[in-house]
Amino acid sequence: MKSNQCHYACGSDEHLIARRPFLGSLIAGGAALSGLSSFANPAVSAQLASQQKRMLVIRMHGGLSQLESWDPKPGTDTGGPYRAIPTSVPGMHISELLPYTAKKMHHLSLVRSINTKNGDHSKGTYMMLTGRHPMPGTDYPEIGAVVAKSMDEGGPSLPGHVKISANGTGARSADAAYLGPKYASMSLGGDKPLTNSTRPSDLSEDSAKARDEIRSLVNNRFGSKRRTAETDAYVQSFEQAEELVKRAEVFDLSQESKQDRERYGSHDFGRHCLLARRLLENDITCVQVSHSNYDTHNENFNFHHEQLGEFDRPFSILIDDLHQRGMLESTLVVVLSEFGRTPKINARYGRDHWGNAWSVCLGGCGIQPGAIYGKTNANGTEVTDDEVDAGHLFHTYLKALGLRSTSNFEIGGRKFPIADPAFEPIKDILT
Amino acid sequence: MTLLSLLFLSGVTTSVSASESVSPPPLHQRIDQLIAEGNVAAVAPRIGDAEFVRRIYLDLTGSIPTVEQARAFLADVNPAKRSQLIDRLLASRENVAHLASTFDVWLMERRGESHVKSSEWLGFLSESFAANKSYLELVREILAADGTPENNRAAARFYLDRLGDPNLISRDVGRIFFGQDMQCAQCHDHPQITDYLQRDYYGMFAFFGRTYLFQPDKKKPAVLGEKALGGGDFKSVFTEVEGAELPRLPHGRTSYADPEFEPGEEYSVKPDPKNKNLLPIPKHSRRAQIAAALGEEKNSAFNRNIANRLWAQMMGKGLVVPFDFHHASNPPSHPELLQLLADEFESMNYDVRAFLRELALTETYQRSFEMPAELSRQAEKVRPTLAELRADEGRLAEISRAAAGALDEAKAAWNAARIAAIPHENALAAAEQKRLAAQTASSKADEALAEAKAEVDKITATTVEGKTNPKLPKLEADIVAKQKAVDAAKTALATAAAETEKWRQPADAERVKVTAATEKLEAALESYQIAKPAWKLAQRKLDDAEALIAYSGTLAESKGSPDQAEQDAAKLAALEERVAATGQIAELLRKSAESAQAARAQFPDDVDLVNAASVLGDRSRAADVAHQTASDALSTKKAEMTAAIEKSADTGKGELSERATASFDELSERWSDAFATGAFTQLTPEQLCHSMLRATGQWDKLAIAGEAAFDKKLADQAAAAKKQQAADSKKESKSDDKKAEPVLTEAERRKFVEDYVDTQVSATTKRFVQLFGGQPGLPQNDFFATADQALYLSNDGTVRSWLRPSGGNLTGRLLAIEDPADLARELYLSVLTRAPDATETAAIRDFLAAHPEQKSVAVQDLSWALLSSVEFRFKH
Repeated sequence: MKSNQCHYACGSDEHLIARRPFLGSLIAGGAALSGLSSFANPAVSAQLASQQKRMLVIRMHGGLSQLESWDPKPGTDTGGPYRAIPTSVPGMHISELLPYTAKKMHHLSLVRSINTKNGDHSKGTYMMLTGRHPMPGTDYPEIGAVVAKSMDEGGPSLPGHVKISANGTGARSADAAYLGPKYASMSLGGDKPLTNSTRPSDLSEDSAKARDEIRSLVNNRFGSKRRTAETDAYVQSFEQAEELVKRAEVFDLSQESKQDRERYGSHDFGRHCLLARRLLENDITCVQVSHSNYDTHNENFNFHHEQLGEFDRPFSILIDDLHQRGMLESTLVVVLSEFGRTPKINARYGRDHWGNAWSVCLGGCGIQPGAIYGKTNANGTEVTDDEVDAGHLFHTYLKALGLRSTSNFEIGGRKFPIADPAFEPIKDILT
Repeated sequence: MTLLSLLFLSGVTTSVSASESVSPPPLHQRIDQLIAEGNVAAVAPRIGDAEFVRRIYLDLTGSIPTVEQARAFLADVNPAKRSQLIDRLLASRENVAHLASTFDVWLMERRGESHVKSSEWLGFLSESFAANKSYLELVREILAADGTPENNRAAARFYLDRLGDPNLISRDVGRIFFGQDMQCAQCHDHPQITDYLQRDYYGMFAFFGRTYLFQPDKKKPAVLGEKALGGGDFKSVFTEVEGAELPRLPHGRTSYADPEFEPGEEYSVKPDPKNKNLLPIPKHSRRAQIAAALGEEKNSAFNRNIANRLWAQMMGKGLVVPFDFHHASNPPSHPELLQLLADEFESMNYDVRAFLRELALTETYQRSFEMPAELSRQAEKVRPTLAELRADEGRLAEISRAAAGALDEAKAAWNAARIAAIPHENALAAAEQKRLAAQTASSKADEALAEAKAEVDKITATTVEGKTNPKLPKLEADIVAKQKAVDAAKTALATAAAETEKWRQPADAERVKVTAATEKLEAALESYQIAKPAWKLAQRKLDDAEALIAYSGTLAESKGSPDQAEQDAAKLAALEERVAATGQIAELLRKSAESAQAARAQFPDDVDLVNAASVLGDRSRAADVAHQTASDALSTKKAEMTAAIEKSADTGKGELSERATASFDELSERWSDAFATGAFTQLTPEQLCHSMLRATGQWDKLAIAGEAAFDKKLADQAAAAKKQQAADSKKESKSDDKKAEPVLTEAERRKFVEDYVDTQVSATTKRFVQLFGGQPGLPQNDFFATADQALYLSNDGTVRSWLRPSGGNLTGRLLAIEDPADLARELYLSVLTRAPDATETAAIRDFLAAHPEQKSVAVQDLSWALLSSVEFRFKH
């Protein structure tokens, strides 16, 4: 375990997250990419004809280098050793570390002009996931919770907000702030099923059914005297639990075909992408997958080569699958980090924390395909055109999903703006 | 309102003795009266004993009663048993723990422990409540604590586990102790709330702005440090208004100025750049000032906040919702009542128990959560008052709007005055600075001259040669030059002083204008704070009345269609009449029985009185039973009708009934907001966990395990002593006192067992808090239900283990009962603290009959079903 620990760490908590071994996915052949459509499941596609909207966030933990990914500057003092390669969008170039993704860029767009003026991991994560600048004494909900709440149509359904990471616990996290724990994420991926989601062996199916009938009897009697939103929610939570037990296979990756599992790869990120596809197909509103770790203060180039090598294929396959299955139109995909990395290459061939000129990649629901928004200067040291903040991006995500980003949540007699009123969406990349 | 209150008063005075007109009636009666003034129609009936005993145990001990406690209370024939139980529970050990836990959640909102152990903090709270410390004292101790051991380190958890962050502390002190979340006023006057001003936030911030967490050595405990300067300056991002606020309580009239110290003399222990481990101590602590201020000035926001929280604790809902949002646009549902509660709590010396006792004694508290009967008849009674209610609403709306306008004007005037004053203040400050600099220069010149003169004196005074010292002429010339410098400095100082004076007068004039504007602002605020709530109350009453009439209309409409509905309505009306009639009789008899009981207590030897009390007691109980029977019949009928409605909804004819149901639900909400029905709220995670432990008998099992652990400890000690003795006798030890046998008393045994149970229970409680508690640092009273909670209750091993039959636990007892009806009674009383009705008993009978082979499994399933029911999850 110890040997897998990120050893180029800067000493913050972010580095305690175990980094999975490099599994050499770069070596795997490109032939598998052909004939993808044969894997697309027509039954699933039909089911998704309903325009339920979803969101997939891929979080590049530790700070992805924009120069080794979405905004390469080859041949300059800051550019590093990698080339830029053409993509499926004429005129758009990205780093050669993303050859598979390059072929899918006609589904995706880039924002290259982010300036969050921040180089702190936790602050950056907070800003990018909540769209707010930290303020002492106040806590804001993350994008997943905001989207899950906005899309909640009531009724018993699977949880609306799931986070997948290598150390997923199967339990609920605290990321919904005032929206309440109902919209907090369930943490998955550490090979643990959702906590308590299997019926204990000493509880027979008959028993489970029988005791539920008595429970309903008692509830109905009480309901005839008093029914409130709270009592309904309590009754519903049991229905939701039942649904989870019944549909445990939704969270079970072994249900996916062997072919698919091989396609995505057996490393964590590959499996997590496949699980994300599975969850989105089952109408879970917001899924976040983490890929760790990009905090490359030492040996930036080697590590980006490794990490992006692991990222590139499964990500491109996922985009392709979502497209093939007709889901991309209704699924917003965002690849984000807490910040980018310094153009300046340090003495250890590393790049440090940098929030002043960096990029995200996004696409799918509500986003123009193949667009580039904003620009940095020749060697990437500053934003020259259309500077944006985390707040603008947050508005953009909501707007892309068809939500009014200037509206409010009404909770307990108080109004909470769903996004920071100081910002607005980036209209130019919205469809 | 006046008319209603007059009507109400005239009704009451006939039944109370004349002597009571001299001293005010007890608080609980005054509360009921004010609640009644806000009700437009009939309120819910008084709860039965079974509902009462569950509710009061939950509220005062944090758990449902055990089956024995419930049984004992139900069997008690004393008519005064409710007030006796209230007193007994308030004196219980469980009450101390429950109050400590309640306040812990209010004060810390489940924040993690960073610098002070939660157990030490809870210990501090428990000791405080065991000693019945006044709330004011408690808060002052918390706010005065600084983390040093000599100054109540445990109490400093409030500050330390907020990491000493001045903004967070200011916000939370505002929220938790004054009921005002002024977060949005941090950067500007609150955009939506007229009476949250930026200067209020900074008045609060000024107490804490100099505070920081002092922990130079991470291995040593953190304490609170405080700087001697700064804190309280603000500038609006909207209006460019800036200012420096002195510490001031929210809406307080007193600003606490710092004592003046010579520059450089502000610290009693000065910061030492060479010694980072030395805690600097300012001579004046602004933070300590807040605890002092609370002792010195009456602050109505402080009193209202706690009165509202304690009210909500018992009544299920605050008069102001949410707790930390007291402001004029979110007025209390009952403004006069909140003021009464706040004032009375203060005059009863902030005695939490005495206050809770009064609340528990009210009719309002002891009201059923079910809607009153005969709503249609009520609607007809209300109809004629509509015009008056409308007129009231219109009149008060106008007054309130005018007050809001005046407040806006006053605010604008204040802002203008501030903006006008700023350049003058700045000019004065600049001039003053120049004057100070001139003064320093002048004193320096004086000193230099004196030094030069002293030098000359030294030379000339000593020896004869001195007078001819060759240095002298140069020195004397120097003196002349320095004299000139002194004169020049004096002139400069005089000019600077004159300049300062020139600026002082206009600055003072501006300040007077600002003060006048501030006074006008405060006055406008006060009028608005009275006018707006009065309007809201009138509005609510009007809306309640209209909702009632609308509901009755919908009912009549749905009755209009099939014959069945008409018959049902007639049947329902008859049943409602019966419930009302039996309720009246029961109420009358109860009061009579109570008076008789009181009289009997006064004259215990009066045989007639004893007889009368006994007869009246019997009658009262019989009447209660009759009333209960009637109520049950009504419930059954209603349930039938609901079922019929649902059925008709299934067949597509339910639109109207659906409307009726929705209208009824809305009415229920309204009645609940007006406290016309009793408390209905979720159990806290702690209450839920403890109640499950009580209901399943797991708590008792833990106590038995505790006893066993104690016995083992005794045995171990005895064995060790014996061994020691043997060793001693071998060695022929001389010291006798060593041989003293450890004697453990009964009190020690009890303490050991209690501690043992507490430890076990608190581990389980933690899990419940994780699942059922809100997010740390946020208010904890919002209800939410998630799948992982239900999964835990359904499948987790812990809850399942409590249900496994063993000895005298719930399922063990049930297993031993032959008769299904007896079994049903035991089950319902243990879990839901009530008897099952006929349908339920029949269902239990059927269930057991269907599972003859596996009674053990069946009783576990039944117990689980009741534990997981809505009825168990909520307080009602």
